[in-house]
Amino acid sequence: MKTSPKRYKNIDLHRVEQVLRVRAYHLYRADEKSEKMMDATTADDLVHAVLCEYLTHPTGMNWDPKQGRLECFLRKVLDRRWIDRCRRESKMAASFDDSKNPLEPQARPKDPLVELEQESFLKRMRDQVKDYPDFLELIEAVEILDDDCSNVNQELAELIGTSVKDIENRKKRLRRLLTGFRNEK
Amino acid sequence: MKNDDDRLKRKKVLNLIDKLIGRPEELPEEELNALYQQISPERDPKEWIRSMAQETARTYRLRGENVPYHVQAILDATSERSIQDTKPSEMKNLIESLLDPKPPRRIRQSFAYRKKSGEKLSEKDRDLLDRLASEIGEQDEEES
Repeated sequence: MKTSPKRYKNIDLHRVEQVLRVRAYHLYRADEKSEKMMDATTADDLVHAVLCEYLTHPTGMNWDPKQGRLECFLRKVLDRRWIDRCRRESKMAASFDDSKNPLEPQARPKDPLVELEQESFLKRMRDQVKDYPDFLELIEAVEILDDDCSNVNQELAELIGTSVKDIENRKKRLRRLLTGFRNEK
Repeated sequence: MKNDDDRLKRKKVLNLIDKLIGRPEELPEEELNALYQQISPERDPKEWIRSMAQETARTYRLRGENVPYHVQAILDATSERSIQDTKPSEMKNLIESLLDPKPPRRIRQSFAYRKKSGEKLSEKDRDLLDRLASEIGEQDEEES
């Protein structure tokens, strides 16, 4: 694949880094289980790993502006790497448990992805926002929303019986809460 | 078969996260800035990315390979230009312009007045304008 220097013009590197860091932080914070792993694999490490992967690839992972902006492309890469890390960590945890109690039936390694399944993820999210009834309502609505719905906020508003503006506001506050802002009630 | 299952599960979790908190690249700049500030208030992203790009470029050079466009683009975008980074031809032009500066373009202040319509100039006015214009011209020459 021939790379053209033109495609790298007008890239806002600060925005690329912002998008990746905010996403990585939210992924780790949204998942209580991976938050516990944060001492070993922090959000920072993940962003670093993705940017290194992009830089060391001879053609910048074949990114093409036709596929979307660079921050969008690398955010998708980051998502995949996050899942890979969660799986790896779960496998390691399972193998450590196994060696401690080889005869214990519950010490058998489970499918690591079970932890990442929809229901367990939502349960973890609910635990994190248990003091916020409007967030719990939002999670409930997201749970019953179709996977392939196109206008998410509109459909969530209809399910909850509120306005799109309110949904946007709840999401904004939830993002702030996950990022560490206080007093989001 | 198992890989397909894994992919489906991964997709579902990420789909949920997207629906619940959205994607950062779709956020308004103001909100993204605020979130970023909260996460890393003292970070210099430009320096961080630049150091990574420099490290990568060094690896390529040590292998005797050209630095790829996407790495060079980051170095160019984040560089603070120094004399060593300046091309010889640019440096030559810069030195020449310093040694032999071009005189500033002269503006004939009286021209605008002369061309004014509806204004009648007497012979006396014209003489006065010519004299003043030549004085300004002399001053310009002396200064240059």
